Amino acid sequence: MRFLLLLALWATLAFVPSWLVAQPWQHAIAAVASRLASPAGAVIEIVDLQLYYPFDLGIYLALCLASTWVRWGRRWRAVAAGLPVLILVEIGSLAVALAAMMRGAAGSAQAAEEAQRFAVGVIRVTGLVAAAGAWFYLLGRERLPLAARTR
Amino acid sequence: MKTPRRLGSSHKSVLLFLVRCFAYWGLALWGVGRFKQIEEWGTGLTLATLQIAFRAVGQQVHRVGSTLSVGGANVEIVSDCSPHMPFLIFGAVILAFPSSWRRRLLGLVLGAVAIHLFNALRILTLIWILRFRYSWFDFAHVYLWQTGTVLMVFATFALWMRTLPPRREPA
Repeated sequence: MRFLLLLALWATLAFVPSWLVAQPWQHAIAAVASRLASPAGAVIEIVDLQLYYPFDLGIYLALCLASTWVRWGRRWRAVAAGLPVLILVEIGSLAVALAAMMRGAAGSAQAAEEAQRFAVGVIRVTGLVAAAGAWFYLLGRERLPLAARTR
Repeated sequence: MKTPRRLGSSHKSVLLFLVRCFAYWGLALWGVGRFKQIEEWGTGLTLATLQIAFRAVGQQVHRVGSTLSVGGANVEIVSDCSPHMPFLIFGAVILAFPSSWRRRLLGLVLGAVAIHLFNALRILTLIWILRFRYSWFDFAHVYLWQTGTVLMVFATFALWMRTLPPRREPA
């Protein structure tokens, strides 16, 4: 319960700077991802962006800082180790989504629709899934067996 | 009687758990892309729940396709408004966690109800903001989807963990 309250507090605090830098951040991530996803000799022009980056990074920061069962030093080390990985996940998942949409667009209408749904799924939540996974691997796993014992 | 296995502190079991999580998650992503019925079912359920909620408080509500008209505000319920994605993440974690199938089923049912109710509350809050505090909408939309949904999934998972029997320590 304490963890959840602290998580809510830290996540709310981390949300504010994430909100302020969201637009330039998303454009920067999109620029790298589109380079990775574009076929040789082609350029992808991104007109509109509706991503949830870098809020996943804020959630990861909040998860680490709310992990009171480890010392501050380890929490910050987890932040330092996890954030670069999560930024790569953001770029990678956006590149996969763009590649899937381009592949879908080249096929039938149904294929395009399927690719669109897949891409939206990848963009919307992969960052959060990766954040939770990274936190669990670095800090959260120490808490799970304890939680299982508590009734 | 077979005793359900629990996660140990070893890297192997942790990695196995994470690999399972991501495998189930990948499968769910593929399913969402391949079968549009999953998304349609999620948005349909959200629409029906919102209609019931508004009628329960005596509020006039009209539905045209996937758009609800409430007190002058028109809200289109799109895939982002559906609880299917948070539930699929939650489901992946529950299925990957070492437990009996009975407990997993309990977790999936408990999670489906909790996540759906939270999502309906989230959309109701957003409709209220849309009507009375329009300038807050974008901020609240992203905040509730990111922070609120993560908290809800974590809280539901923690609640499910409490239903598990105590861990057996090796002799």
